[in-house]
Amino acid sequence: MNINAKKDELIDVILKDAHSQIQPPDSWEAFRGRIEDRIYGGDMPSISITRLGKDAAFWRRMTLAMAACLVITLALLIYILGYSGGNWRQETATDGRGLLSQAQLHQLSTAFSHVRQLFGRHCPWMVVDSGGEGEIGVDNQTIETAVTNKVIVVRLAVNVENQKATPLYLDVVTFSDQQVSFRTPLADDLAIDVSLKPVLTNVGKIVVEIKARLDDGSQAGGVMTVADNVFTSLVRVRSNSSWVNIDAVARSVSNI
Amino acid sequence: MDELAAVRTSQAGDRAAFGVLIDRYYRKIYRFAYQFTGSHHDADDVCQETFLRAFDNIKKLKDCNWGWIFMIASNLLRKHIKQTEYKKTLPAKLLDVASVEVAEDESTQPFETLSRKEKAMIIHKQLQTMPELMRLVTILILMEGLTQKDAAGILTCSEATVSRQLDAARNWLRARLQNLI
Repeated sequence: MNINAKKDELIDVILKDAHSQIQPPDSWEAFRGRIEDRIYGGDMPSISITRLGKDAAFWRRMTLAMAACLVITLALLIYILGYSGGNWRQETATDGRGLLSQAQLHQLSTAFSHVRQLFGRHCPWMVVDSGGEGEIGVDNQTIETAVTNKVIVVRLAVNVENQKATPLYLDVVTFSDQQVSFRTPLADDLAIDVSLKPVLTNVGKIVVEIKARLDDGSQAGGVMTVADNVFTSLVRVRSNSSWVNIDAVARSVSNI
Repeated sequence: MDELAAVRTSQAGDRAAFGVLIDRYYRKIYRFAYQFTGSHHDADDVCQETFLRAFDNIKKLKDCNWGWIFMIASNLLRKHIKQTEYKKTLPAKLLDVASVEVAEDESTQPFETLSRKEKAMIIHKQLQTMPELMRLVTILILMEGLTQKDAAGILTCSEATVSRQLDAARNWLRARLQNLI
């Protein structure tokens, strides 16, 4: 046996002896009890770990949901900021037409894509007015009917006759064949409830079914094919001594 | 009850049978964990977690190779070592007992004249400075007495790797302990 083998033999003995002396600071019996407690009961760390895992998963989902909300809010904010300070108002003010531009469609579709991600399989809709106010909704009853690969942007121009103020513009973004209902103020003491359903037909035209009702109970409705390059008169509602007119242009958005 | 029967009965949900397995291995796993981590607290925690995972997953154990529990422990230890910054100090209890003597005698006094506790402390101290895989091989083969094949299975590496690590460990130990043997 060479000298290294003798050293190894000695080291092996020392190692095994050193190893055998290790024991918990209290006692083996106490440690054995802790194992049993851990597995079968006591403070049940394993189960608490599992629960913590579920909690962690829950909070992770909550964080993701909140992050999604933040993204949507930011998207809407960006959109609204661009909206209120950008070309749209200028265009409206200068040429009076207020038609949907390609840039506005892009902004709306981007914002709506974030909203859509938030609601998953449900069908959301979104309304943004020219004052920068936005509203998001989900109509669960229309899940079956909404055509979720066809998104339509309808720009409503609401104006009260005999008033010199510029029309109130409302951009409605929704799926084809989905009902959208919302309420919007027209003046300090006047608001209007609007319910509309745009449908993209097989030939590419957009037909809008609309019902409008004022606070005083007067209402009107109709179904019109809406153009994309000129405002089409949808409905007129009598309001005391004047009329509330709702006109619309509409575009489909294919790249959402 | 032999080990195979204990595993089979445990798989059927018998706690007493699992208790047999705990009795058979808990000291080994504790020592294994302590030698690797250098901390009673960590060894306690890792050992408990090892048996807990074994209990939770024993139905998945197909070949009744209870070396599996060493595999669970070694995986936990490797994970643990990555997550923890270890203080390269000796356990407090051992330090209390023999730190003064070792500081003076470690390099000069032959092993024969040291107490068993002092020897254990020196060995343990040296192990803490060993590379991770070499340390695992040393503990499993030289201390626990496992075969190279079993160690390779536990560490999920080849026997050739274990053999190389074992040779390196022997050289390493001879060099570190040459003044003591």
